Amino acid sequence: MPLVNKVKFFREELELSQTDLGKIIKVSRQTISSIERGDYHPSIVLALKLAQLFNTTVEEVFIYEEE
Amino acid sequence: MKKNKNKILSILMFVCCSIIGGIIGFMGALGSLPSISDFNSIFVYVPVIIAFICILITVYCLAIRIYASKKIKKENYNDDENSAFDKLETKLSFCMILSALISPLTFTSLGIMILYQNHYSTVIFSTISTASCCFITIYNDAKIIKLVGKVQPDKNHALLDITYQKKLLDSMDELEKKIMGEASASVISLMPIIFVPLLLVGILFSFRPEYYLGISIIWMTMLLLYFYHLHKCDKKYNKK
Repeated sequence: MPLVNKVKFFREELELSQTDLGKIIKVSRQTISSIERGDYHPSIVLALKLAQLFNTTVEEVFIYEEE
Repeated sequence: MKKNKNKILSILMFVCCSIIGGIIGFMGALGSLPSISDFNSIFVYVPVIIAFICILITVYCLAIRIYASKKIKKENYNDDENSAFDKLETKLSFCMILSALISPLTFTSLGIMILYQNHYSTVIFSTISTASCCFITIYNDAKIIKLVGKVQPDKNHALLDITYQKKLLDSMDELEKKIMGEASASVISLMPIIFVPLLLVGILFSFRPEYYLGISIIWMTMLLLYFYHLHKCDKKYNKK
């Protein structure tokens, strides 16, 4: 997949568990886990929510790499 | 482009349904196929086997639910990675699917026994097993939903609420909705693959086509509802 993300990195920086992060942005732990593994690409709203929580930009969290 | 594809797919599905329905109706009208009574011997042992399978499924579901609730309670109802809930969630969902099978299976067994056996003891046995299996599985399902509600409070709904599925869907996040949508679409697209071989087996073993009428009606209703909701959602998201 050309889309890689740093969700796990930012989450660990904030010392949050997947459950805690899920509770904050109102999604399930499984969704966070799927995003971190790269199995699921979140919607724009969810990506913005994550970026806002990590106090950064969407481009910093999600990186599109040309194949 | 996507809309055109959906239209073509819908028309194709309707044509397929019409052809299959037409074949069934035509064969039924001809009445040329031998009667199911040629297979009377099957009806002696098949309903008893079905009844026993249902009892085993009920006991399995009950055991899984009791085991899961004890384990999950021990971990204070959390759903962290590698928690008891995380490990047992699939098993609990599988139990609910098995439970959904109990009613049609037990009632089929009861119906065959009443129609073809007429023995007082077997009918009584089947009636008791049907009633108890159905009651236990509904009770078990309600308990599973309550258990899931304790772990994930936003998914706390009542089983007997007729808007349960809608409320459940509303409470899901985007990935869960995507999974649910993909699963529904897969099931719908599998229906012709399940139904056509069933019909062919029926013809091969000379079962009367009327016995497939129920399945055809369910299939058609399911498809119509599916397309109705697809259209409704499409309208909702393409408002001008």
